[in-house]
Amino acid sequence: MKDKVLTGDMGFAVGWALLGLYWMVGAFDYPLWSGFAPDSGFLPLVYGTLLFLLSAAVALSLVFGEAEPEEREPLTKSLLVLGALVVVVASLGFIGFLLPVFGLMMFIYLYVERLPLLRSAVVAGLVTASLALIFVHWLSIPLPLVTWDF
Amino acid sequence: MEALMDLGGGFSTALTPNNLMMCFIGVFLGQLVGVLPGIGPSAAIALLLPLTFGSDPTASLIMFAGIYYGAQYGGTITSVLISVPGESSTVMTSIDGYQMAIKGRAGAALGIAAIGSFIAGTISTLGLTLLAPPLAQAALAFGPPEYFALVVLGLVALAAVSGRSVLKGVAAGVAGLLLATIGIDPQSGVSRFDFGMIWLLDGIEFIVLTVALFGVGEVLASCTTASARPVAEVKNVLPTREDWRRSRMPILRGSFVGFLVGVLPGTGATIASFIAYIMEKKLSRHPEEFGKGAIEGVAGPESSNNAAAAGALVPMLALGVPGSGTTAIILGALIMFGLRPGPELFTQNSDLVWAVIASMYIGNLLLLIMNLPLAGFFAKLLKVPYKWLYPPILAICLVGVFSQANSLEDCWLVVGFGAIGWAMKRFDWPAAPMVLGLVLGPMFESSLRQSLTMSHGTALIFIDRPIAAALMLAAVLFIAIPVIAGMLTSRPRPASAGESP
Repeated sequence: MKDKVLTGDMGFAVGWALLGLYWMVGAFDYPLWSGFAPDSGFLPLVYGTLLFLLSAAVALSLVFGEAEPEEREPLTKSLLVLGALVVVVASLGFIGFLLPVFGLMMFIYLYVERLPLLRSAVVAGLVTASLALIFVHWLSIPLPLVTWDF
Repeated sequence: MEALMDLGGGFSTALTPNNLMMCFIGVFLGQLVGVLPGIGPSAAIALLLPLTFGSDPTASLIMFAGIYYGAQYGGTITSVLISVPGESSTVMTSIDGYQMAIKGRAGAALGIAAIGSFIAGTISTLGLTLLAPPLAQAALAFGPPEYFALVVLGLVALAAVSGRSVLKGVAAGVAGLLLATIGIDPQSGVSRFDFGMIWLLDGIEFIVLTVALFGVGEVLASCTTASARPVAEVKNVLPTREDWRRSRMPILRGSFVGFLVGVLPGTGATIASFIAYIMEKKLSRHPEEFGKGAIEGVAGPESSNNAAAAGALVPMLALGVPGSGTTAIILGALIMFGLRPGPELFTQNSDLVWAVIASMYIGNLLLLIMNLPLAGFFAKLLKVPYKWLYPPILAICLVGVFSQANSLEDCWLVVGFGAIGWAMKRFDWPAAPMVLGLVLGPMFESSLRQSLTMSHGTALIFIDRPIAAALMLAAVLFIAIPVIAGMLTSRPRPASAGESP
């Protein structure tokens, strides 16, 4: 378990460090200094360097520090929900908001949480209808509800 | 005297039917999110931001402030009834509050918490009324170097106390600043880090990041623990004469300590409640009762966290430096409404500021009225399982973010940053400094450029000017003190005489 925690924590810190490195390198595409003041590339260079150093320090502290073995929650449910969100956003551009949002809630209620069908359908239906009512009718936001709204 | 006259004007704005209703909605929602698991005031304000886009800023900010201090009341209910603090600031309340609930005195614990919160909230709002205007007046003399130092202090203070690791907090703040460089540089007109995508020219919107980190990220982190818990029964919320005798001094002490701690940037309600609890235990004639259901252990921390919530608005309104994660989001909302946070807020938008302050007196009264008779009703909400709540939260996140710019790309960003927010929560990286970094990034960059232009390129300007130097020193102390304290506590203690080696 401890190894798993360290791997995830470490990977996350390394990810930030890599982002910092990307910003450091990318900053040189822009002028760094103009007259007396910093130009467009200066602060991205500073931020990138700082993020790289700080994240690397976090990663090093995980390697050399005395990490407390911590129990983490299982990933499966969160990954299922995240996957469902990706599918929903991917479909929004084609079929509008109504079906994907209703489908997202039904998927989570029925498949992820194993809740009863009728109650799930009622809650998902009511929430979807309320969102359409609030955003489209009350706030007059051009929310594409279905395919032909695009 | 002038402050009291301004406050009178604030009351006349806050008492209009629309603002009064927004105040009620705010405190009710705050109470609700404090009670409901997996959603805090930061997430609630983030979710409501898209709904308030384009609406009256005064009414919206009255509602956000209501959510902020209302959540302190709501968090108490979960702490007392199921020993699960709804907010980090109510952790200390759960120690003695839950013990009182086990002994059948949940009602008394909730009652004294509500009364203490009302008194503390009112005293603290009075402190805000009297302290914020002179502070803002003094800060009107601020130039770019002072603003730069102020932004540094705000970022560092929040980063240093947001999580368990100062390093992770500061890194998260820097990550926010880094994200703020995406898009067109307003000074030179150069497009930076847009990856060739036109929709990134405007940069990453504050709403998108906030909803992603505090909405989607929070849901992804909490959905695995979506289970119901047994809830204690609530009876007789009015405290007895003896309860009141034991609680009145802890309430007063908690109010003053909470306000003072809340005013310090970055400290907030959680630290205030810890200090109040420790102080009450030290001052008590029966310290052995603490941890076993001492009512002072509820009255002190509860008063303190509510006082700190109002205290944290002093630096936010007067200086533009948020005192907590939630006030960082409110600060972002101010910018979203086209207002400039900082000392000028009191001169250029005084109607708005005084209406928000006046609404806090009204909101505290509404919360007291709601909490005494309705404690049982809110307790029943604890029985709603989180698994029914989080799918609609996700739906609101998606629809809300799309609606603020009609952009599907923003929906992708919400999912991406939501996943990052989940990982941040999982690996204990605080999210609030990241949001603050994104919000304050443009001000940080422009004030740095202006300061260095003024000084002909020398950074000594931040040390030569006394206010800027003092703010910079405070920022250094915020970083140095936790690091030194950590080093001292981790150093092995020498074995004392008589102890075996």
